Amino acid sequence: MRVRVRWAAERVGAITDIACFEPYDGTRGADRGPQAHAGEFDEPVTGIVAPARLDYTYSPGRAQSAYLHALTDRKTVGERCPACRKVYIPPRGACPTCGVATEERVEVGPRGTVTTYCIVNIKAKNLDIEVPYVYAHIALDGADLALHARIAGIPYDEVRMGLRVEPVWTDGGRYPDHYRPTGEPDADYDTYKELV
Amino acid sequence: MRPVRDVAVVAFGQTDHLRSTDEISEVEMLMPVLHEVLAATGLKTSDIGFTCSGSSDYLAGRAFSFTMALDGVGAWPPISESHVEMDGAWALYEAWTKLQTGEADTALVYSYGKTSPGSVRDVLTRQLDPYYVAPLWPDSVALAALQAQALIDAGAADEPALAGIAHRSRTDATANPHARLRGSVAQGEYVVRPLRTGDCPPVGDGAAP
Repeated sequence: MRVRVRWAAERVGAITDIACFEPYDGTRGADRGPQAHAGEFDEPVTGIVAPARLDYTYSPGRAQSAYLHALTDRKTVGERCPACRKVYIPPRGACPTCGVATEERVEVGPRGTVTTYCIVNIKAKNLDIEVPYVYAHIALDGADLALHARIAGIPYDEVRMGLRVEPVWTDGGRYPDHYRPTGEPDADYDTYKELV
Repeated sequence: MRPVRDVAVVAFGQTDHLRSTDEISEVEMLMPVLHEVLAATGLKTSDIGFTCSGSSDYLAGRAFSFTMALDGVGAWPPISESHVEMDGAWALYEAWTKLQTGEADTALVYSYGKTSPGSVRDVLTRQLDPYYVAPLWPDSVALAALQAQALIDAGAADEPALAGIAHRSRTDATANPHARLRGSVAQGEYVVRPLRTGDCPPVGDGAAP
């Protein structure tokens, strides 16, 4: 069967410009058949935009669901590996070192220690925070994995390794908005060196 | 050509294949059967020469989602490991090649897929050539139907012959308590001509090491 391209009403230089193929009896226009082409085009297409949207229903699973539920009570709950005894936060349901399921739930924090940090000088889109600000890894008390959060309530150039911090929640917040200094003396390096 | 080395499958495990597994993550789904297989061999992760997994990150909708599943293996300190953005058969082939070349003497292969978070017929289109094919959103059933029609047009098969393959597979599945569909099902209506409901596989979640 002979067919011909039916072009889309609006053409943008993409494969979707071909709306479909339709039957062609050869009477409309000259049927010239295949023609040699130099392979050179006056206006080469250098890029296309192919919009795509997919909707997913994300299931965090057993361990992460428990973590998220605990956060609604402003509690941070990790899971301990039965083999190496490390407490993971947030828990993913498995110890990546031992390759076994973690089940024992352990509440950690709320206070913690800054193990390392960086000063952010570039304003992020859609984020209403004045630069510079500090983003840090925080080892919550009792946790064997540091998580990251913003540090505020202290001049950015006074944040340091070992700084003791506590979470600051905002009304309706699903997780701490940021962490601030507790005023305690700095933690000794040996207490968090494994978590840097 | 005869393979250089004989390779034997010494253990196999499989989860129940379910339409949806909302309550567990990928690693939580995979881990029990993975440990079942390791226990059957008496080997630890660190004893295994090569570990290879096959899965599609598009199903989770998250880049590098397979690294989360790797947590269930115990990949630290680092192990010799690979992942294919593909199915378990391709992962098995990579492992088989490693065994043939003598780079490894033992291999652990696993695959898993949680299709339930998304609409799999739409999701799988994202794996296709991004310029000429993906913008057309040809779904997996339509692509299979094109191949089936080509076979029919070439005289290599007809609709009853194709239906017979599905029927044979489902009859075989009566011996597998983990399979979602066992025994014969109605051929049903066309999904994408020439493929009918009975020609198409069930969509579900599951893992197999």
